[in-house]
Amino acid sequence: MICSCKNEKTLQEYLVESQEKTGFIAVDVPTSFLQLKSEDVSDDLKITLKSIRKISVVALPIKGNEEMYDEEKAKLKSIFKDNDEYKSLMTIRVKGVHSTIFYKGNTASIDEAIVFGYGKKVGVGVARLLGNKMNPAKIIEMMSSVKIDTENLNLEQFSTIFN
Amino acid sequence: MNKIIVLIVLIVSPIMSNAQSFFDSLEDLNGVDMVVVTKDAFELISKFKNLKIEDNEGMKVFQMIQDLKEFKMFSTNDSEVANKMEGLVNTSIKKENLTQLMRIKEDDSRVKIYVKTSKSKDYVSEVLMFIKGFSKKTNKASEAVIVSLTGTIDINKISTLADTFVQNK
Repeated sequence: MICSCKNEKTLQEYLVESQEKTGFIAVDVPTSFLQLKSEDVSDDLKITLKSIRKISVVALPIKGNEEMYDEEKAKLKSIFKDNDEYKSLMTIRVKGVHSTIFYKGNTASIDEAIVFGYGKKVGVGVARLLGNKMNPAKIIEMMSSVKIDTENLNLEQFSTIFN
Repeated sequence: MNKIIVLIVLIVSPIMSNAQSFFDSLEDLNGVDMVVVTKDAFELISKFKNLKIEDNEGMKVFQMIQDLKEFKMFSTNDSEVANKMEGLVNTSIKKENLTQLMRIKEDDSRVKIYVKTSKSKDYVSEVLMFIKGFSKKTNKASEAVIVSLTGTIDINKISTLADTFVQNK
């Protein structure tokens, strides 16, 4: 409680730092994997697609990292706790796995969406979707007219997380 | 002198934090699953209204209670934890001066619904629902669910909501 004010660290700093630490799995996905099915769509939709910038995932699997788990969990917790910019959307805990969804911005224009999760049996991780004034209603609308470009999306990176 | 002040602070501070909400102690309880949905999420969902979600039961509930501040649900399958949860609910009811709205007793379940009344007769500021399930073999509490809603809630629509939950069980 006393030292909480000194521990100010942004999520950005945390992500960059953790990417280099051993034990962590880090994945950056450029949104170019989302492609329009055809060019024949409204400009509005193109702008919406451009509003999504990238997805970053940093995770620490529990296997072999038991000692680091508590420390990293606490670090991430303090990032979200002391920051009023991150508003919680929902928290779910099922069978000891805890996950919270945060966002930054307002409900019509979101700048960041974050999923933060941890569990004693799985480890700890954070995923961030970075964008520029993303409109959630429009993104859902857009989803019907995009295809996922698997060539651009390196699925192997993801599979390592779950092993 | 200083020591006394420190002592007082030490004694009072846990009491103060306890007064915050009994939900916090639930969140730390092992064996409890939980879902918390905040006001921001309700705002987001209301923006999707023009999409075709009309046929979805859950969405109907969401639309009914748009002025909601927070939705919390805790559930467990552990009988010990279930009893603990019941205790916490009972203390909270007394402390917060909640009024009982209805009570349903069935073969293998008990449902209790409490509300915090506001000035207007049709609206309440808090709804607390406690559902306890019994296993037929041991006749002991085998599971428990706590649902809490805060915000401006139309009392006439709570019963519809309760029906949805009972049916889901």
